[in-house]
Amino acid sequence: MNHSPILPIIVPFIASIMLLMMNATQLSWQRGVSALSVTLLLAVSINLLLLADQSAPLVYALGEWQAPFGIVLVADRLAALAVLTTAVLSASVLLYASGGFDSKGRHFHAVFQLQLVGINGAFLTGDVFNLFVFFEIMLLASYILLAHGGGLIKSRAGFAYVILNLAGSAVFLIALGLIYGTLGTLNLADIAIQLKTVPASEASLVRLSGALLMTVFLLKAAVLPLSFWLPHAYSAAGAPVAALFAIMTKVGIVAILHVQMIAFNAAPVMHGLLGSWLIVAALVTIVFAALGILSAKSLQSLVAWLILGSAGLLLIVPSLNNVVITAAGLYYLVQSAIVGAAFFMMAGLISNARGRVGDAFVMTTWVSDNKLKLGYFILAATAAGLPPFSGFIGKLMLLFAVKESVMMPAIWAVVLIASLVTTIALVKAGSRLFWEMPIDGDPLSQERLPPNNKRQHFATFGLIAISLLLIVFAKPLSDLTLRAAQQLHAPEQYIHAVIPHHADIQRGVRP
Amino acid sequence: MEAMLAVAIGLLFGCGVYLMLRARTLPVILGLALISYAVNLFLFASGRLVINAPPIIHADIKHYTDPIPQALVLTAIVIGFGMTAYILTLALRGLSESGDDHIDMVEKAESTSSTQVKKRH
Repeated sequence: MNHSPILPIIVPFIASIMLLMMNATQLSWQRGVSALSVTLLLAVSINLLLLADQSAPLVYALGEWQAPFGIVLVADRLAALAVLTTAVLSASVLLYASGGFDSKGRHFHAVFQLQLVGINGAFLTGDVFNLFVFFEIMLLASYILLAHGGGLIKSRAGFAYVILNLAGSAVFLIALGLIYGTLGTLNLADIAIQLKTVPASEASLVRLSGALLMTVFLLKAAVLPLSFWLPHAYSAAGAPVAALFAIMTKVGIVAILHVQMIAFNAAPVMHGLLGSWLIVAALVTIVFAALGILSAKSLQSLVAWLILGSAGLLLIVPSLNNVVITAAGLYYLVQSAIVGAAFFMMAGLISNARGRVGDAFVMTTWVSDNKLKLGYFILAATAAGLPPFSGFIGKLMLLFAVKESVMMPAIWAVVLIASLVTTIALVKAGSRLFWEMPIDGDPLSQERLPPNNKRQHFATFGLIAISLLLIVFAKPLSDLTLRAAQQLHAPEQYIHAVIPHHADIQRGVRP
Repeated sequence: MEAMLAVAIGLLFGCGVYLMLRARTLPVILGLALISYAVNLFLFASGRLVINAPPIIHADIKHYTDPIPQALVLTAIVIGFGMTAYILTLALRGLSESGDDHIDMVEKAESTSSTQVKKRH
């Protein structure tokens, strides 16, 4: 059996336990172990993507207990691509955090690695109960990272965030109980098989369990009635933590895609569960995010609203359910995660460069560093979707893909107007941050600023360079996302890889 | 027995939701704890209610109970316990930083507005 699918989980897990034991040692050693782990993670994720891209999804049965009775990890192209994106993000986030943020509290590196365990596990797992467990690992680590650095704002944002996610976990468990009670399985491939033969007496319960499951994923993905937590939590977190969180809404979207495409699409009992209303919710989320972008009072909260807008755009994918749209959406998923993270780090750099006022949109001294201006320009143009940057390619592919849909006029209108509003807000923010200054001198100009932090700069501009590479390599990447989408829309391949001979499985009679 | 369990789950959920809508941190946390108890009972019932039967499948045993929900509940209890411990410490930190156990954790400097908030609830 090929052990590659478990490596992205086990490498940060081992590092996390080592780091917990190394708490008393010097920070530089902890940074070294953390960096080693992330480097290894990058290597194993590239390897996993190459393997997963070759043919059918890779299946890893833990302890050789075969599905549907054992626990399986499944690395299809979507999961492998998401794991690689996480690895790239985590490498730059770690570099940024090593520039001093990790010394603001204890156990940063251990919790950071644990967060990676949770994210990668949520992408790779092949059954819904382990999806719950990895979600909880991811969330518990995110609660601690959110509070890292301390302060009342973080406690306040953290409390609401934790309560909301705990309530979400309760709903998740109810959905799992209903699924197990009616279908007798929690393995995703087996759920797909069992859903085809649901007796009419249980159909409504099964449909309810599906609806509850989707509600939880939509909470993580931050679709509108469930998205009020995101701007508060993401703008209160420290810059590198917020950058890592940029991938977390994507975890919810990947979970929706997996469950919907593999299990729910082919099942008559789940017919039309998301189709009719999710597109409306997604568009309203985009409008809400655009209004938030206009009203943001600091750069970091503006970027948090941008993340919400990209989540709304991505939710068009599961609601329209078409191969080309999925392929375009996956390109946009990778692109928006990287640009969102880079933008959070840029907000941190600008905040450092402006001293006490931070990244709030108030007038203060000049920011003299031209590199920051250039970086802000590239990121703003990418996030707003202006050509020739990668945000433009992502949005263009998505808009072209929805051409055939009946919702096309509404989607085009909302996305384009939201992009215009975003552009205006980003231009206003940029001129406020870099150009405007009070006429009658400035008392703050006497403030001594800390010297430029090389690691933080290198991490941020490295991620910006990767976002530029997404333009150069748009063709190979979009080919890969097309293959991933085709695999998702042909779930027989996935089901066959996990459970090759499902007719032969002996199932006990349930009491 | 099904009716009793259903009533217990419903009662726990009702109390939990009521407490979660309060404006103080401790009732909210207690409400969450009650909800997690209700959820655990619900998960337990997903394997059907069987009395006096072992959770083992064996050739000699004809009458058994489903072991999987028990394992699931155990996992859910452990996770819920850890989460409750964390949120309690977070609430305590908020209390020490703001001097008030209100959900919104209003700062000390705004004590006048926080007393107004207190009166409203």
